[in-house]
Amino acid sequence: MSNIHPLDYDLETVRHEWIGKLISQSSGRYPVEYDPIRRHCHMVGDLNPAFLDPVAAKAGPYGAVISPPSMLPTYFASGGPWPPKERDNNDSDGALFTFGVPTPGDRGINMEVAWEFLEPIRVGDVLRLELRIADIFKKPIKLDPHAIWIVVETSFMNQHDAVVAKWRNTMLVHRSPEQVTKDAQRESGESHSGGDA
Amino acid sequence: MSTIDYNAERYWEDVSIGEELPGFSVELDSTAMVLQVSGSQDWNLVHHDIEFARDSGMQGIFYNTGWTTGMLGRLLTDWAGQSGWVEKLNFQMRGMNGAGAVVRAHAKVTDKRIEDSRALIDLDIFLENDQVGITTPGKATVRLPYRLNESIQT
Repeated sequence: MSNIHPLDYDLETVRHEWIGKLISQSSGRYPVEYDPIRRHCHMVGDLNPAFLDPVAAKAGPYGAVISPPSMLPTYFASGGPWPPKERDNNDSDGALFTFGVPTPGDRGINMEVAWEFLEPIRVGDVLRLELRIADIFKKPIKLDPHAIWIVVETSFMNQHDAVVAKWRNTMLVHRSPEQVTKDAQRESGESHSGGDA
Repeated sequence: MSTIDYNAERYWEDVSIGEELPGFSVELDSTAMVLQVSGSQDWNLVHHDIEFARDSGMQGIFYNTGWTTGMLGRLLTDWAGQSGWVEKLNFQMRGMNGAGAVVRAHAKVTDKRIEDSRALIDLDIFLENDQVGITTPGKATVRLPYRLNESIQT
Protein backbone atom coordinates (compact mmCIF):
# COMPACT_ATOMS: atom_id res chain seq x y z
CA MET A 1 0.00 0.00 0.00
CA SER A 2 1.16 3.45 -0.87
CA ASN A 3 0.37 5.83 2.03
CA ILE A 4 0.99 8.85 -0.17
CA HIS A 5 0.64 12.08 1.78
CA PRO A 6 -2.46 13.98 0.60
CA LEU A 7 -0.29 17.02 -0.17
CA ASP A 8 1.69 14.89 -2.62
CA TYR A 9 -1.33 13.24 -4.19
CA ASP A 10 -2.17 14.46 -7.70
CA LEU A 11 -5.69 13.24 -8.39
CA GLU A 12 -5.80 14.51 -11.99
CA THR A 13 -2.62 12.64 -12.87
CA VAL A 14 -3.95 9.47 -11.26
CA ARG A 15 -7.26 9.81 -13.13
CA HIS A 16 -5.48 10.41 -16.43
CA GLU A 17 -3.23 7.40 -15.94
CA TRP A 18 -5.77 4.91 -14.57
CA ILE A 19 -9.31 5.54 -15.83
CA GLY A 20 -10.08 3.11 -18.65
CA LYS A 21 -7.07 0.98 -17.85
CA LEU A 22 -7.48 -2.78 -18.18
CA ILE A 23 -6.37 -4.02 -14.77
CA SER A 24 -6.94 -7.73 -14.96
CA GLN A 25 -7.63 -10.46 -17.47
CA SER A 26 -7.83 -13.22 -14.95
CA SER A 27 -8.82 -16.83 -15.60
CA GLY A 28 -10.35 -19.12 -13.03
CA ARG A 29 -7.95 -21.36 -11.24
CA TYR A 30 -10.52 -24.15 -11.15
CA PRO A 31 -13.79 -24.71 -13.00
CA VAL A 32 -17.01 -23.72 -11.23
CA GLU A 33 -17.32 -26.24 -8.38
CA TYR A 34 -20.02 -27.51 -6.06
CA ASP A 35 -18.37 -26.79 -2.76
CA PRO A 36 -17.76 -23.02 -3.00
CA ILE A 37 -21.43 -22.69 -4.00
CA ARG A 38 -22.42 -24.85 -1.01
CA ARG A 39 -20.30 -22.72 1.35
CA HIS A 40 -21.86 -19.56 -0.06
CA CYS A 41 -25.36 -20.94 0.52
CA HIS A 42 -24.44 -22.02 4.06
CA MET A 43 -23.27 -18.43 4.74
CA VAL A 44 -26.80 -17.06 4.20
CA GLY A 45 -28.89 -20.15 5.02
CA ASP A 46 -29.91 -20.71 1.40
CA LEU A 47 -31.44 -24.20 0.91
CA ASN A 48 -32.39 -23.85 -2.76
CA PRO A 49 -31.73 -27.20 -4.52
CA ALA A 50 -30.92 -25.38 -7.76
CA PHE A 51 -27.64 -24.42 -6.05
CA LEU A 52 -27.11 -27.47 -3.82
CA ASP A 53 -28.61 -30.69 -5.16
CA PRO A 54 -27.13 -32.16 -8.38
CA VAL A 55 -30.04 -34.57 -8.87
CA ALA A 56 -32.79 -31.98 -8.38
CA ALA A 57 -30.88 -29.39 -10.42
CA LYS A 58 -30.45 -31.82 -13.31
CA ALA A 59 -34.24 -32.08 -13.56
CA GLY A 60 -34.65 -28.29 -13.27
CA PRO A 61 -34.66 -25.57 -15.93
CA TYR A 62 -30.86 -25.32 -16.20
CA GLY A 63 -29.98 -29.04 -16.24
CA ALA A 64 -27.22 -28.68 -13.65
CA VAL A 65 -26.34 -26.98 -10.38
CA ILE A 66 -25.93 -23.25 -11.03
CA SER A 67 -24.29 -20.42 -9.15
CA PRO A 68 -26.76 -18.19 -7.25
CA PRO A 69 -26.89 -14.43 -7.87
CA SER A 70 -23.87 -13.53 -5.77
CA MET A 71 -20.23 -12.49 -5.76
CA LEU A 72 -19.25 -16.03 -6.76
CA PRO A 73 -18.32 -15.10 -10.37
CA THR A 74 -15.43 -13.05 -8.98
CA TYR A 75 -14.25 -16.12 -7.07
CA PHE A 76 -14.57 -18.56 -9.95
CA ALA A 77 -12.93 -16.22 -12.49
CA SER A 78 -9.94 -15.28 -10.38
CA GLY A 79 -7.24 -16.90 -8.31
CA GLY A 80 -9.56 -18.91 -6.14
CA PRO A 81 -8.69 -20.32 -2.73
CA TRP A 82 -5.47 -20.43 -0.76
CA PRO A 83 -2.60 -20.84 -1.61
CA PRO A 84 -2.41 -17.69 -3.74
CA LYS A 85 -2.23 -18.29 -7.45
CA GLU A 86 0.66 -16.70 -9.27
CA ARG A 87 -0.63 -13.50 -10.84
CA ASP A 88 -1.48 -13.46 -14.51
CA ASN A 89 0.89 -11.34 -16.58
CA ASN A 90 -1.75 -8.69 -17.14
CA ASP A 91 -2.53 -8.24 -13.44
CA SER A 92 -0.96 -5.19 -11.87
CA ASP A 93 0.57 -5.01 -8.40
CA GLY A 94 -1.96 -4.53 -5.65
CA ALA A 95 -4.78 -5.79 -7.85
CA LEU A 96 -6.49 -7.43 -4.90
CA PHE A 97 -7.29 -4.22 -3.05
CA THR A 98 -7.08 -0.85 -4.81
CA PHE A 99 -6.44 -2.57 -8.14
CA GLY A 100 -3.07 -0.82 -8.11
CA VAL A 101 -4.50 2.69 -8.11
CA PRO A 102 -2.33 4.92 -5.87
CA THR A 103 -4.23 6.32 -2.89
CA PRO A 104 -3.34 8.22 0.31
CA GLY A 105 -5.08 5.58 2.43
CA ASP A 106 -4.73 1.84 2.79
CA ARG A 107 -8.11 0.93 4.29
CA GLY A 108 -11.08 0.11 2.09
CA ILE A 109 -14.85 -0.08 2.32
CA ASN A 110 -17.15 -1.23 -0.46
CA MET A 111 -19.94 1.27 -1.00
CA GLU A 112 -22.05 0.36 -4.03
CA VAL A 113 -22.53 -2.77 -6.06
CA ALA A 114 -24.40 -3.39 -9.32
CA TRP A 115 -24.67 -6.84 -10.89
CA GLU A 116 -26.21 -8.02 -14.12
CA PHE A 117 -26.64 -11.78 -14.37
CA LEU A 118 -26.96 -12.60 -18.05
CA GLU A 119 -26.54 -16.38 -18.39
CA PRO A 120 -26.59 -19.35 -16.01
CA ILE A 121 -23.19 -20.27 -14.57
CA ARG A 122 -23.14 -24.07 -14.25
CA VAL A 123 -20.86 -26.35 -12.30
CA GLY A 124 -18.06 -27.28 -14.70
CA ASP A 125 -18.03 -23.94 -16.52
CA VAL A 126 -14.66 -22.21 -16.80
CA LEU A 127 -14.83 -18.47 -16.17
CA ARG A 128 -12.53 -15.57 -16.91
CA LEU A 129 -12.89 -11.87 -16.28
CA GLU A 130 -11.81 -8.50 -17.61
CA LEU A 131 -11.66 -5.67 -15.07
CA ARG A 132 -11.24 -1.99 -15.93
CA ILE A 133 -11.09 1.17 -13.87
CA ALA A 134 -14.21 3.20 -14.70
CA ASP A 135 -13.77 6.23 -12.43
CA ILE A 136 -11.65 7.67 -9.64
CA PHE A 137 -12.73 10.65 -7.57
CA LYS A 138 -12.23 12.28 -4.19
CA LYS A 139 -15.16 12.58 -1.79
CA PRO A 140 -14.59 13.30 1.89
CA ILE A 141 -16.00 11.02 4.57
CA LYS A 142 -16.17 11.64 8.31
CA LEU A 143 -13.09 9.48 8.88
CA ASP A 144 -10.97 11.01 6.13
CA PRO A 145 -11.33 14.26 4.16
CA HIS A 146 -9.01 12.80 1.52
CA ALA A 147 -10.90 9.55 0.86
CA ILE A 148 -10.56 8.31 -2.70
CA TRP A 149 -13.39 6.43 -4.44
CA ILE A 150 -12.57 3.85 -7.11
CA VAL A 151 -15.18 2.47 -9.53
CA VAL A 152 -14.41 -0.70 -11.46
CA GLU A 153 -16.34 -2.51 -14.17
CA THR A 154 -15.87 -6.22 -14.72
CA SER A 155 -17.19 -8.58 -17.38
CA PHE A 156 -17.27 -12.34 -16.80
CA MET A 157 -17.06 -14.79 -19.70
CA ASN A 158 -17.48 -18.56 -19.81
CA GLN A 159 -15.62 -21.14 -21.89
CA HIS A 160 -17.88 -20.34 -24.88
CA ASP A 161 -16.93 -16.64 -24.67
CA ALA A 162 -20.50 -15.78 -23.66
CA VAL A 163 -20.70 -12.85 -21.24
CA VAL A 164 -22.41 -14.42 -18.23
CA ALA A 165 -22.32 -11.48 -15.79
CA LYS A 166 -21.29 -7.84 -15.39
CA TRP A 167 -20.28 -6.15 -12.18
CA ARG A 168 -19.80 -2.47 -11.34
CA ASN A 169 -18.27 -1.87 -7.93
CA THR A 170 -17.58 1.35 -6.04
CA MET A 171 -15.01 1.21 -3.26
CA LEU A 172 -13.70 4.00 -1.08
CA VAL A 173 -10.14 3.93 0.17
CA HIS A 174 -9.45 5.89 3.36
CA ARG A 175 -6.64 6.43 5.85
CA SER A 176 -6.66 5.01 9.35
CA PRO A 177 -7.32 7.57 12.13
CA GLU A 178 -3.65 7.20 13.13
CA GLN A 179 -2.53 8.01 9.58
CA VAL A 180 -4.90 10.99 9.39
CA THR A 181 -3.37 12.38 12.60
CA LYS A 182 0.17 11.79 11.38
CA ASP A 183 -0.52 13.42 7.99
CA ALA A 184 -2.22 16.38 9.68
CA GLN A 185 1.05 17.26 11.46
CA ARG A 186 2.76 17.89 8.12
CA GLU A 187 -0.28 19.70 6.72
CA SER A 188 -0.29 21.94 9.77
CA GLY A 189 3.48 22.51 9.52
CA GLU A 190 3.35 23.41 5.84
CA SER A 191 0.47 25.82 6.29
CA HIS A 192 2.48 27.59 9.03
CA SER A 193 5.67 27.70 6.96
CA GLY A 194 3.64 28.78 3.93
CA GLY A 195 2.26 31.68 5.96
CA ASP A 196 5.75 32.75 6.97
CA ALA A 197 7.16 32.68 3.46
CA MET B 1 -35.99 -26.52 7.73
CA SER B 2 -37.34 -24.38 4.94
CA THR B 3 -41.03 -24.30 4.10
CA ILE B 4 -40.33 -22.91 0.64
CA ASP B 5 -41.41 -25.05 -2.30
CA TYR B 6 -38.41 -24.56 -4.56
CA ASN B 7 -40.00 -26.60 -7.36
CA ALA B 8 -42.98 -24.26 -7.64
CA GLU B 9 -43.22 -21.62 -10.33
CA ARG B 10 -44.11 -17.99 -9.76
CA TYR B 11 -45.86 -16.47 -12.77
CA TRP B 12 -45.61 -12.83 -13.76
CA GLU B 13 -49.39 -12.49 -13.97
CA ASP B 14 -49.74 -13.49 -10.31
CA VAL B 15 -47.50 -10.72 -8.96
CA SER B 16 -49.00 -7.39 -7.88
CA ILE B 17 -47.32 -4.01 -7.59
CA GLY B 18 -46.97 -3.23 -3.89
CA GLU B 19 -46.64 -6.90 -2.97
CA GLU B 20 -44.11 -7.58 -0.24
CA LEU B 21 -41.79 -10.57 -0.34
CA PRO B 22 -41.75 -12.87 2.71
CA GLY B 23 -38.06 -12.22 3.41
CA PHE B 24 -36.09 -13.71 6.26
CA SER B 25 -33.91 -12.76 9.23
CA VAL B 26 -30.43 -13.78 10.33
CA GLU B 27 -28.80 -13.27 13.72
CA LEU B 28 -25.19 -12.16 13.43
CA ASP B 29 -23.66 -14.36 16.10
CA SER B 30 -20.12 -15.73 16.14
CA THR B 31 -21.05 -18.65 13.87
CA ALA B 32 -22.52 -16.26 11.31
CA MET B 33 -19.30 -14.24 11.44
CA VAL B 34 -17.08 -17.18 10.53
CA LEU B 35 -19.56 -18.37 7.92
CA GLN B 36 -19.36 -14.99 6.13
CA VAL B 37 -15.59 -15.40 5.82
CA SER B 38 -15.82 -19.04 4.77
CA GLY B 39 -18.68 -18.46 2.34
CA SER B 40 -17.19 -15.37 0.72
CA GLN B 41 -13.48 -16.25 1.01
CA ASP B 42 -13.00 -12.53 1.76
CA TRP B 43 -10.02 -12.33 4.08
CA ASN B 44 -9.98 -8.56 4.56
CA LEU B 45 -9.18 -8.15 8.27
CA VAL B 46 -11.84 -5.52 8.77
CA HIS B 47 -14.46 -8.28 8.48
CA HIS B 48 -13.11 -10.62 11.15
CA ASP B 49 -10.39 -8.92 13.25
CA ILE B 50 -11.97 -6.55 15.76
CA GLU B 51 -8.68 -4.80 16.64
CA PHE B 52 -7.90 -4.11 12.98
CA ALA B 53 -11.45 -2.86 12.44
CA ARG B 54 -11.11 -0.45 15.39
CA ASP B 55 -7.69 0.68 14.15
CA SER B 56 -9.44 1.51 10.86
CA GLY B 57 -11.86 3.78 12.71
CA MET B 58 -14.80 1.34 12.84
CA GLN B 59 -16.77 0.38 15.94
CA GLY B 60 -16.08 -3.26 15.24
CA ILE B 61 -16.08 -5.79 12.44
CA PHE B 62 -18.76 -5.49 9.80
CA TYR B 63 -20.14 -8.05 7.36
CA ASN B 64 -18.65 -8.07 3.89
CA THR B 65 -19.95 -7.49 0.38
CA GLY B 66 -20.10 -11.19 -0.45
CA TRP B 67 -22.42 -11.79 2.50
CA THR B 68 -24.53 -8.74 1.64
CA THR B 69 -24.90 -9.86 -1.98
CA GLY B 70 -25.74 -13.40 -0.85
CA MET B 71 -28.44 -12.20 1.55
CA LEU B 72 -30.13 -10.12 -1.15
CA GLY B 73 -29.69 -12.86 -3.76
CA ARG B 74 -31.36 -15.40 -1.48
CA LEU B 75 -34.18 -12.95 -0.74
CA LEU B 76 -34.97 -12.90 -4.45
CA THR B 77 -34.40 -16.54 -5.39
CA ASP B 78 -36.43 -17.80 -2.39
CA TRP B 79 -39.35 -15.91 -3.92
CA ALA B 80 -38.80 -16.13 -7.68
CA GLY B 81 -39.69 -19.79 -8.16
CA GLN B 82 -37.90 -22.48 -10.12
CA SER B 83 -37.66 -20.59 -13.43
CA GLY B 84 -37.36 -17.06 -12.03
CA TRP B 85 -34.09 -15.35 -12.93
CA VAL B 86 -32.46 -12.41 -11.15
CA GLU B 87 -31.38 -10.13 -14.00
CA LYS B 88 -30.18 -7.13 -11.98
CA LEU B 89 -29.13 -6.65 -8.39
CA ASN B 90 -27.94 -3.21 -7.24
CA PHE B 91 -27.41 -1.94 -3.73
CA GLN B 92 -25.68 0.68 -1.63
CA MET B 93 -23.93 -0.10 1.63
CA ARG B 94 -24.92 2.94 3.69
CA GLY B 95 -24.64 1.33 7.10
CA MET B 96 -22.75 -1.54 8.62
CA ASN B 97 -24.07 -4.87 9.83
CA GLY B 98 -22.01 -5.94 12.80
CA ALA B 99 -21.87 -8.50 15.57
CA GLY B 100 -24.98 -9.01 17.68
CA ALA B 101 -27.48 -7.51 15.25
CA VAL B 102 -30.44 -9.27 13.71
CA VAL B 103 -30.66 -8.46 10.02
CA ARG B 104 -33.88 -8.81 8.05
CA ALA B 105 -33.88 -9.06 4.26
CA HIS B 106 -37.10 -7.78 2.72
CA ALA B 107 -38.44 -6.38 -0.54
CA LYS B 108 -41.43 -4.81 -2.22
CA VAL B 109 -42.59 -5.01 -5.84
CA THR B 110 -42.49 -1.55 -7.43
CA ASP B 111 -43.31 -2.30 -11.08
CA LYS B 112 -44.05 -5.06 -13.58
CA ARG B 113 -43.46 -4.77 -17.30
CA ILE B 114 -42.86 -6.67 -20.53
CA GLU B 115 -39.63 -5.69 -22.27
CA ASP B 116 -38.31 -7.44 -25.39
CA SER B 117 -40.62 -10.38 -24.63
CA ARG B 118 -39.22 -10.64 -21.10
CA ALA B 119 -41.73 -10.54 -18.23
CA LEU B 120 -39.98 -8.42 -15.63
CA ILE B 121 -40.64 -7.48 -12.01
CA ASP B 122 -38.87 -4.50 -10.42
CA LEU B 123 -38.33 -4.46 -6.68
CA ASP B 124 -36.97 -2.28 -3.91
CA ILE B 125 -34.79 -4.47 -1.73
CA PHE B 126 -33.44 -3.91 1.77
CA LEU B 127 -31.29 -5.24 4.53
CA GLU B 128 -32.60 -3.83 7.79
CA ASN B 129 -30.70 -4.10 11.04
CA ASP B 130 -32.50 -4.13 14.41
CA GLN B 131 -29.85 -1.81 15.88
CA VAL B 132 -29.41 0.87 13.21
CA GLY B 133 -32.30 0.47 10.74
CA ILE B 134 -31.88 0.10 6.98
CA THR B 135 -28.23 -0.45 6.18
CA THR B 136 -28.52 -1.61 2.58
CA PRO B 137 -31.17 -0.24 0.23
CA GLY B 138 -31.18 -1.42 -3.36
CA LYS B 139 -33.12 -2.32 -6.47
CA ALA B 140 -33.51 -5.55 -8.37
CA THR B 141 -35.13 -6.84 -11.53
CA VAL B 142 -36.39 -10.42 -11.72
CA ARG B 143 -37.56 -12.19 -14.89
CA LEU B 144 -40.49 -14.56 -14.39
CA PRO B 145 -42.30 -17.02 -16.64
CA TYR B 146 -45.70 -15.93 -17.87
CA ARG B 147 -48.67 -18.05 -18.85
CA LEU B 148 -49.34 -16.25 -22.09
CA ASN B 149 -45.94 -17.44 -23.27
CA GLU B 150 -46.84 -21.01 -22.31
CA SER B 151 -50.08 -20.88 -24.25
CA ILE B 152 -48.24 -19.55 -27.30
CA GLN B 153 -45.63 -22.28 -27.11
CA THR B 154 -48.08 -25.15 -26.58
